[in-house]
Amino acid sequence: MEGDPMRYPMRYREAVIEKTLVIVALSAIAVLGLIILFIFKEGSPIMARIGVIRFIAGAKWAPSRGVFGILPMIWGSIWVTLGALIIGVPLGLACAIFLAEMAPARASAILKPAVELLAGIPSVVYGFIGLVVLVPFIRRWFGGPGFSVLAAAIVLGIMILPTIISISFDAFKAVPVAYRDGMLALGATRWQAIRMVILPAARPGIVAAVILGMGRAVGETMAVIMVAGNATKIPSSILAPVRTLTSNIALEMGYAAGEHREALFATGIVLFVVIALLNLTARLFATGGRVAR
Amino acid sequence: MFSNKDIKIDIKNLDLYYGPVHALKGITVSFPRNAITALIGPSGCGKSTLLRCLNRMNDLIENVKIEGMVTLDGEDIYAPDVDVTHLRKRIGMVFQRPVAFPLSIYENVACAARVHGVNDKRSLDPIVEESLRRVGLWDEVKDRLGSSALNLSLGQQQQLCIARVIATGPEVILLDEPCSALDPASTLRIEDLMRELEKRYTVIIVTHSMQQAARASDYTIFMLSGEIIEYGITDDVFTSPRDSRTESYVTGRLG
Repeated sequence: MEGDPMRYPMRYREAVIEKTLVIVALSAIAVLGLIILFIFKEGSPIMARIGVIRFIAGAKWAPSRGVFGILPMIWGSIWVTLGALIIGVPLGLACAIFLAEMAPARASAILKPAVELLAGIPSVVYGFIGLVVLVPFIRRWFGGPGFSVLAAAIVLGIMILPTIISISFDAFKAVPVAYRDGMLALGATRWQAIRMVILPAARPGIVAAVILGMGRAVGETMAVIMVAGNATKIPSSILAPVRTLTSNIALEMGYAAGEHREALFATGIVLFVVIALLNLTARLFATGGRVAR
Repeated sequence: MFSNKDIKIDIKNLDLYYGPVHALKGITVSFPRNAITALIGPSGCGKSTLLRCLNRMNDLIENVKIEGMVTLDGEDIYAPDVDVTHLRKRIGMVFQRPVAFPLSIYENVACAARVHGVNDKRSLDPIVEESLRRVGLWDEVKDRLGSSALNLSLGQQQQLCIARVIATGPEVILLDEPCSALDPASTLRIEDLMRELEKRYTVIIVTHSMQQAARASDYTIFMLSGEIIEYGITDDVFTSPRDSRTESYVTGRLG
C-alpha cells in the first residue's frame, strides 16, 4: 500500500476534520461552562453575605433599601408553572393520543409538523396575544387587574403544548404496534387498548414530556412579563398579579448596579439549579424506565 | 366432509385483495369444532391472511377488500351489525411473537377479562388462576404474579398469551405460527397445550413447520399462492396427498 498516492492525503484530511470538530465541540461546551461560572461568580457573594436561607426564604424584595428576599418570585414561578401544567398537560396528552393512535396517518402527517411549528412562534407574540385578548377578558369576567397568575398560566399552558405533544407523541409511537394489535385481538376497543396497555407502556416518555414542558414554563420570560403584572408580592389568588424568577431578572437588569445586580445574578443561580434538577429528572425517566423490545 | 353440527366456522367463496393484489382466491372451507386444523404452505401463500379474516384483524389494515362469506355457528361475521369486539372475544388470537404487555403477569391475564367488563378483584382472581392453570403456567408464576411479564422466557410469554386469550372466554383460538420464535422444548409444551385446548375450543393453527402440523393437528389445509390446494385429515394429507403439489411440499421439494 506504500505506493498508493491517495492514502496519505486522505488520512491527513480525516485527521484535520476530526481535530477541528473536537475543538468546535469543546469550545461550545467551554462557553456554556464559562457562563455558569460567571453567574456563580457574580451571584454567590451576596448569597453568602445575606445567607442562602434568608435570600431564598425572604418575603420582601426592596432593592432600593438593600432588602433581597426572592420568596415571592419563587412562589410566583411555582404557581405559574403549576397552572401551566394543569392546562397544558391534559390538552397536550389528549392531542398526542389523538395524533398517534386515532387520527388517520395522513391527518397526523399534516398536524404533527403544524403543532411543532407552534414552538417556533416567538414568545413575545404569545405574550402580545395574552396582553390584548386574555388580560382584558379575565379583568372583565373574573375581576381583578387581569394581569394575573391565571393569565400567565394560560399563556404558558399553550406555549408548552408543542413540547408536550411532540415528545409524548414520540413516546406513543415507540410503543410496539403488537401491543395495540394484541389488545384489539382480545376484543378491546381502541380506547381500552390505549388506557390499559399503551398509556402504561408510554409512561416514561410522557413523564419526560411533562418535565421538559415544565422546564420551558419555568424558563419562559417575555410572555410572562407581558401578562403577569409583576408585583413582588406572594400572590393571594389566581387573579392576583405575580412575578416569576425569570421576570425578576429581565425587569431589573437594565438599571441594576452593585448589590442589586448581584442579587439578580443570585436569582439566576436559583433558577439554574431548579432547571438543572428538572432536566436531570427528565433524563432519568427517559432512559431509566424504557420498555424492553 | 362434516355434518353441519360439527362445523364451527364455514368459509364460502372468500376473496381478499390488498389494494391490487389478489391475496386469497375463492376460498371455500370448513373448520370442525373441537378439533385442531393446521394451515400450511410456503411463505406468502396467504395462510396468515386467511387466519386474520376469521377474527377480522384484516379490518385494521388499510386498502383491504374482502368478498365472500364467513360464518361462525351459522352467523355471518362480516354482517354490518356484527360487534367486532364481541366477535374477537369469541374468536381469540395468539400471535407469532409472544406479545407480553409491559404489565405484571397478573395484569397481563386480567386485562383480557377487564376488556369485557369484569373489573372487581374477587371475580378476576379466579379467572386469572384458572386461565394460567389451563396453560400449565400457574405453578411456575403463582408466587410472582405481581412481577413484570417481560421477565418471563419467550416460551412462558407465549403460554401467558394463550392464558390471556382463554381469560376472555373464547370459543375458537387462532394461533398464528405460535412457536416460530420459540426453542424446541417450549414448542413441545405449546403443542401439548394445544391438545388440551382442543377439548374445549376449536383450534386453528398457522404453521410453517410441517412436522408440527403432522404431529399436532387433526386436519390440514395446504395453501399455495392464495388458493387451497388440498384439505383433509392430517394423516391423509401427509401420507397420501391427492395433489402432486401437496406431495412436493410435504416431502420438502417445494417452498
